[in-house]
Amino acid sequence: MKNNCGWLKKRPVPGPGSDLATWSDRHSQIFGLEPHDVKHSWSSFVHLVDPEDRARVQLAILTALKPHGALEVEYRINRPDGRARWVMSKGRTYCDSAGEPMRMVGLTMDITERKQLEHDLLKTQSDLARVSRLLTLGELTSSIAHEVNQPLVAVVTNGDACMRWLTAEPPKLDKVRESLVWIVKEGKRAGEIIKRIRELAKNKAPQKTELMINDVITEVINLAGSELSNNQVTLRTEFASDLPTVCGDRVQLQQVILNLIANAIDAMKSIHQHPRELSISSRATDDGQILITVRDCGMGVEPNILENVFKAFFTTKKEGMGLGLSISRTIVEAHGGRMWALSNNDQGATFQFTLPMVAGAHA
Amino acid sequence: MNAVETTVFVIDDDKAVRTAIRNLLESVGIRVETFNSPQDFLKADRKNVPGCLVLDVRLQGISGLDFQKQLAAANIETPIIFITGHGDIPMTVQAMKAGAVDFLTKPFRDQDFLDAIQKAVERDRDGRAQEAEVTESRRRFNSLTPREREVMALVVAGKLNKQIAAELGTSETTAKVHRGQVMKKMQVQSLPDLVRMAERLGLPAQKC
Repeated sequence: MKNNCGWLKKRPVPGPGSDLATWSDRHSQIFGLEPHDVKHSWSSFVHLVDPEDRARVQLAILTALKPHGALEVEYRINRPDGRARWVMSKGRTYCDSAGEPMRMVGLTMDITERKQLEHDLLKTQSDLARVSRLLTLGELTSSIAHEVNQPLVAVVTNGDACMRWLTAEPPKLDKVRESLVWIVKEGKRAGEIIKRIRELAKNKAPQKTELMINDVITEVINLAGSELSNNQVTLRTEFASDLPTVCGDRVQLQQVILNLIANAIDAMKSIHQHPRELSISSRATDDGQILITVRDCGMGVEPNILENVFKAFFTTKKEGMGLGLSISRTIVEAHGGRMWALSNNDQGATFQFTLPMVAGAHA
Repeated sequence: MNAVETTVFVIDDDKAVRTAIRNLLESVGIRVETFNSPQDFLKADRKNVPGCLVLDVRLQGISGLDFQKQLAAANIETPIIFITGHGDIPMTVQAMKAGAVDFLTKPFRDQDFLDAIQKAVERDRDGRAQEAEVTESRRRFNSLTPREREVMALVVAGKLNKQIAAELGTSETTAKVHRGQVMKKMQVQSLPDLVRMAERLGLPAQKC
């Protein structure tokens, strides 16, 4: 820590109007400046901060300028030698007896390596998530093929009908028009499905946007739907209406749901003595979370291994890699939520996860 | 095929697909009724007219093949044409063995589909005609007196009047009169005709 720390003293109060700051030699080195050589001013400091982070850093310092104010900010700097580094500055504000800020004292650490590791880790997680997503998609190939085939059937069959209506004497143009409307609509539907699959298969960096979780779930159901009927699984959905939005990566959240549905189907494959039912529900909780529940009536999970199912490479399936749930939980936690499994009283298992509502989003 | 009397029932949970099939069949003048699920089909008040059933192998909550079994168990003998996204061979064999008329892979050629429909409707017509014959034969059989039924069973078993008389403890003349009555009431001209009718009615030839 000593080696990459530098003392930052700003006196009096830093800010656009105050150009006095005392920097330790080490602090100057972090910023790529010659010790004692440079007149450290507010403006020269701001100039070193990466333009993208500048406004954020200035705002963080200015908001820390109050009695007992504390600063902690991570940002990128562009050193005079051209090397970009990640640094973290921590500081405290000292005020006079009247409560007026007098100075801020703090230190700066070079956190470039840590940032690089974080970045690598995220990249690895995202790669792993993609591989697992592709595997899950692979399991659903026949379902997906069916989903694309359905609109094609509608297009071809309506086209055939059109030709027959046209050769009628007199041609039945209103019927032709009716069929053409379907052809256009179903052509678009096929395109939408292909678009969705490509998004799931694409190697894209996670991107968080505001999402309606019910839409995200519905899109997955549309893809996996025929896999359900193919396995004689009846789906029940219970979506709370007017749910607030969540902030997340659409593809990753779809992956979590896709994975839970694929698992549920697998868990019910050996069930013949009672109807196979899968229920998916969403609701808001009192503590500002959205709770998604996926419940099956399959073989269930032994209570003593409920936590193990989330461990990487833990699997009860012959062909499983044991990655799906571990990746799902990583994704949910990266979204600020939690994920757990329950053993049902009657039969089967229930998987639940939460996602924080977007603050200020209204139902 | 006589289009007016015929109704094709289509069960598919995809509205676009069942509407498309409806459009195609209506373009050749066939009456169509569509259903979202097997349950809807069973619940519906269907007209008792010749027709056939177009069924997707994948249905909600039940496989098309299981539904085929259910219909057979419920004595609903409407011929079935299966349509499927992926016609795997074992499934096709299973469906055909259970009496399906045809098994088409989606998207199908319209002429193949219409040919299959025609074949299915004809099969239903034949089935209905046979059923009507059985009903008529049964009606005739029910008009026989108990003694005449005994005589008919013996005649069908190949017994001569003399043997029948011995077995029933009557005179040969009486047996002959009974035999004449049976032929008249069953409206048959010859012994082979009577045997065929007995077979159709499922009468055991050797017993009774």
